[in-house]
Amino acid sequence: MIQTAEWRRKQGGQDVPAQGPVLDLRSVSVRYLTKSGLNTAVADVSIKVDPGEFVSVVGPSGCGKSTLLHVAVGLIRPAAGKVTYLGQEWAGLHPDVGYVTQKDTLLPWKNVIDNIALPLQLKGAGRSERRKIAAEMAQNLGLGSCLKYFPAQLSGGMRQRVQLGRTLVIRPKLLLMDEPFGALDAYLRLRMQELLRSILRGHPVSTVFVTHDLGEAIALSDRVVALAGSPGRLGLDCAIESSADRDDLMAMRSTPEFTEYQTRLWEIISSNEEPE
Amino acid sequence: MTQEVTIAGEAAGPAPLDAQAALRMLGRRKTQRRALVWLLRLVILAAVLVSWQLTSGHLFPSFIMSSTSQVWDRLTNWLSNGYILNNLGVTLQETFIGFLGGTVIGAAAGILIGLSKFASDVLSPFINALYAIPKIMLGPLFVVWFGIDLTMKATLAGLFVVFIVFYNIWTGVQEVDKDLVEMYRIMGGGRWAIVRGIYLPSAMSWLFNSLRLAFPVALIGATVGEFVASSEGLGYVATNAATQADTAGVFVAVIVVTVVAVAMDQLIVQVQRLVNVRLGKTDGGRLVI
Repeated sequence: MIQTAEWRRKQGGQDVPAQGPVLDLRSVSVRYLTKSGLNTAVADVSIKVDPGEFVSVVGPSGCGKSTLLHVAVGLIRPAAGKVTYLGQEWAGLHPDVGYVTQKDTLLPWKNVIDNIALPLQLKGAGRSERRKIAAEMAQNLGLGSCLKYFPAQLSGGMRQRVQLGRTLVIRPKLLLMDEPFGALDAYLRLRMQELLRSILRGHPVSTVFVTHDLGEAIALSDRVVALAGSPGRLGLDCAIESSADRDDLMAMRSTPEFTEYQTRLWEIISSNEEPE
Repeated sequence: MTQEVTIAGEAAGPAPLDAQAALRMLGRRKTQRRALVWLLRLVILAAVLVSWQLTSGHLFPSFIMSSTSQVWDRLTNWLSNGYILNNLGVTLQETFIGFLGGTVIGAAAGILIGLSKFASDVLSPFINALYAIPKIMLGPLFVVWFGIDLTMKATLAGLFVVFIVFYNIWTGVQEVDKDLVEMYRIMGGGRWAIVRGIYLPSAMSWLFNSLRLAFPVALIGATVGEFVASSEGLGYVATNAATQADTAGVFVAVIVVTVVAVAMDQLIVQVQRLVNVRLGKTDGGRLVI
């Protein structure tokens, strides 16, 4: 899928340097201070995300997937290793990064359009300008008919779409997603995957997608990184290639390659499990 | 429009209902139920008033119990000569000044102190101690400080209110969803943007929750102030009537204060509903309107 990533780079992100990765985590380790002493959450993990590339991070609970995203977004400083964003060593939060979690963090007192427009408001965009951009985004996400609705009036899937819109409205150069569809039922999850896929096709964004769902990771990604064990170490970093039309997620899921990838990833993930 | 619906259990009925008719029937049932509720309420009220009237002077002496008719006579008499309205005006003035002052001071202090974890930690034992003081006991002290005029009563009312509002907002600010704050930071929101975007709107809902408790308490503060020392206001009307063994007069004062408290409570509830809509709050999945 290298060509696809290259093609996507050409389509979008004009500010993205042609050479070099958008995000480069090199030998990153993260430690937490707990009552029992220093606890290592992630040990010596390296992940590189090229322009326009969609990279999934999979692994069992507690392997430090989310921690890695916290490092990438700048909330946590790694104990060891180097984080480079757009070729520059990166310290702290960056406004061009979009971050979505499974948790609903919409503001209950703002309606759909104002929730989507919130990051623009924080960047100082004028009311009518930001509403116009947000309305367009809402249209793309199929939320055009409920711009005036408050989050409490929306279903879980719609709320997650609003969150996605709020993240994409700033045209992020890097999209970090932490189990964004984890709280949705199987059907809605598939619909959201299709939606995400089609949006990224129009506006390619380098993406790191954390999930515990192997199928979701394989179907959506250019590359899947598997973490294993606790603390999490790099188990496998493999490019996903498939003969199927990558925009047809159901077709992709029914290919033999899909099953092969799934088996391989499952072996890696479950290999380092401690016996109970 | 002509879509037909069948209702479970009525399948054996003569004909399926159309949706319009079913809606009309539901509407009728709702109206009937509401009418029955109001009818029963009136029956209970009437029963209390009638039994009060009948037992007075028989089961209990009427100079202790008074009676429905005596209270009614006193009420209409005092209403017509303006005695009640003048004194009600005085009490309301004290109450509202205390209510507004206490709300503003309590809300501002609650947000400011709540925003700082350190300040909250340092001040919490003092806040808890002040909260625990039976504030009524400060009445005599306030007479020394402020005299016996409006200032004393409004201050007493305000003191009652300030703690309720402060405590609600102070605890609320500390319980603001930290994920929301983190999300704001990631989107590039600074400290002031976080206060304005998350803390102030959240504070609005805690504020309205506390206002419903605060108004009756402000009314208590004002009337207690009048008990302590005054020559006007409903508290004075009650104490003055009591010293003359005029129980009907005391009842009139109590009734008028109650009516004011209920009316104000309803007003706050209505405003709260409007605010809830603005805040996108729901009640069991539906937007509270």
